[in-house]
Amino acid sequence: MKRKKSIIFLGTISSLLILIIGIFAFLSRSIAQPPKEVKTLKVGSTLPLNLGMGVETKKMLEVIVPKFNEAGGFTVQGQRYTIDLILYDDKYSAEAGRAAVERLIYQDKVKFIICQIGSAPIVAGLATTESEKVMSFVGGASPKIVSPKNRYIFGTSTTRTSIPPLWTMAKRVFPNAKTVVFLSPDDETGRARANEETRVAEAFGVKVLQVLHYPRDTVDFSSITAKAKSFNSDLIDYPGAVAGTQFGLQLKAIYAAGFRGGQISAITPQMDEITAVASPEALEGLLCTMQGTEVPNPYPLAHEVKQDYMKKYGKWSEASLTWIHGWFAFVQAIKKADSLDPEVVANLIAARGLEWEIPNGKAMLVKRPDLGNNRYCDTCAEMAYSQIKNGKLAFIGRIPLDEAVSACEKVFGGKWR
Amino acid sequence: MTAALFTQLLVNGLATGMVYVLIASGLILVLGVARIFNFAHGEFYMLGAYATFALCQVLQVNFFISIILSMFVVALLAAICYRLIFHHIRGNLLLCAAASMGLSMMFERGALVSFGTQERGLPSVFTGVMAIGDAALPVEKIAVILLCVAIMLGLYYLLMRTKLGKAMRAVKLDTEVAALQGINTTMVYALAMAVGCSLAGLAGGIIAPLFSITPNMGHAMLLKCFMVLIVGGLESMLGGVVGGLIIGMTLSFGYYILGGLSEILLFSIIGMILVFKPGGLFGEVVEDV
Repeated sequence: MKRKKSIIFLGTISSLLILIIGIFAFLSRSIAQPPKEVKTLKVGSTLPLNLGMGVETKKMLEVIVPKFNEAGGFTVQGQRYTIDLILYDDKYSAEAGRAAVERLIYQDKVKFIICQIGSAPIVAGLATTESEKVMSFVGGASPKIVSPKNRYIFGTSTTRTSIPPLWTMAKRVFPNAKTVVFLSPDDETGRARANEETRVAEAFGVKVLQVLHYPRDTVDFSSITAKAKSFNSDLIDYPGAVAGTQFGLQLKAIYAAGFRGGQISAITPQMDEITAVASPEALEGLLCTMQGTEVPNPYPLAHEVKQDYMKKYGKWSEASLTWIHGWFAFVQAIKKADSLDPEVVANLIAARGLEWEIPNGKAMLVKRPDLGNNRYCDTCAEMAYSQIKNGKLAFIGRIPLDEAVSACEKVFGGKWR
Repeated sequence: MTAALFTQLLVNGLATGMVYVLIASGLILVLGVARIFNFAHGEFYMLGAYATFALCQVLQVNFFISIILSMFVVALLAAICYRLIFHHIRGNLLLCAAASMGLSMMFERGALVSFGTQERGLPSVFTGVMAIGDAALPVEKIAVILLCVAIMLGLYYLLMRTKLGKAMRAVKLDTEVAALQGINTTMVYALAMAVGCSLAGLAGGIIAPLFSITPNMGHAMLLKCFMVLIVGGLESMLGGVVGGLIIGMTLSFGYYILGGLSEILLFSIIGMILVFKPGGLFGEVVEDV
């Protein structure tokens, strides 16, 4: 009997030991198992590499994307992804833009396109991105980008919504201005911007005397500015202008034509390029936007991207920031939807909106009821403004996100939030 | 249109037109003497602008010394191109034109690789605005006009009063007879190419502080120069001067009248000239090219 008890006791102890060893073996195997493989997500972009703004945007993307990957990328449904950015030159033209988009979609098989700049290449590729259900987070000024017909494209720059906040600031700086003349490029972007600014200026009680268009590649502005000066307007505005040397040539020519009124522009001028061609007197007093990296007490993201850029290239370029909002929106949208299915992501953010951080501050997707689009499809953001004084940009104030959206609602009508 | 605006547009048109005159004169010289339809002429203009930019901005050389040095650099380059390429195919207009197209692409790509796509600009040498009545006239435009007039007078002196000029005219008139007179025609061709292209290079340097500098700036300028040649006549220097001024004025006043459609006015004028004077205002109809 005693022997039988001992056998039962030893058997129980042995079974227990085997169980414990089994549990430990299982646990240790689980712990020792390597983590899930990090996958790569292909993301496309087309930029005008024949223009400074395209080159600068590319340089900035080549800073922030590798940094994002080094930090581990993002996790979607438990799977970690890093980004493989594929970038082609669209030459700011419809033909090259469409070809580049088709190459991204059919050859590289991307499902997301970010940070395109020019309206012409964006609009040219729109039919393909929509039919192939490729989601795009793009710049560009054309209202066609935020047309209610589109489901997969989102305007993530402030090009269509930056004008009401700009004119809010312009009325503070030039309270007595009653008339304005526009100088604008003769292309999709220029005409879209000029039409929009006309509407905004008139909503702020400023009469648009004339819209003068010039070919995008113009370098001699003397005749155009002589004509602009002949209207004797209170203000000159430059809808759709590019921020570099060409803008400097315009400012120089309008000064040479004898214009001494106020000047405003929705762009952030590339000061190194414009001061290379225009004298400080020609630039004096220009009201324009200011990058979040240059304002007193910049936000942490602004500080971070500037430091990273300078670490890689040595010299800082404000122009590198203007068109990268699409990247931050894309990352935030994927995180919010927790999906890489463009259908899921697009439906979610179009229905519920999106808020994200950009170097300038807060940004959010807004509806465009004025354009018949009640989906969240366009972007409003906090804006900073400056005036050029003695050849340098001097910060004059901010328009917060709420005020920017309210200004847009006031000018264009409808509920945007 | 007020008198002040008219004066402004006149000065703008004169300045632009004189730059066309300078470049077109070089093109006419190369075509007339060396018998080369030089499609790379616009690129020599671009190289002149970049050379001036590099000398002024990188080496901090005085602007006027820079444009003179740029002119010599472009002249040397043109002479080398002539000796290496055109000398061997001289007499065959079509081959020369094709070779110059290749040269044009090579220079443009070279500039793209060397200087990048970024637009470059130089600060104005002549700042300020001269006020005459209500008209605001930029000093730099007036300086460009005077500079171009001085260069054209120098070119006139070179062609009419110097041995080289006489040799060039003789070669243009009859190559064989000129050779029988002891003129080294090969040298004259090379020098015509060098002088012609250096005029384009000089124009590039002069406009560097006025406009932006890009690798593809030569294309638009070459197109305008062809218009000048069509208006004035293919081989006429006087035609080049008149044609350049007509194009400059048409663009300047045309924009005021027609805005962005001013080029329609330009092509209408060219069309009318071709109908009534198919060889251009001062040229003859070219039967066999």
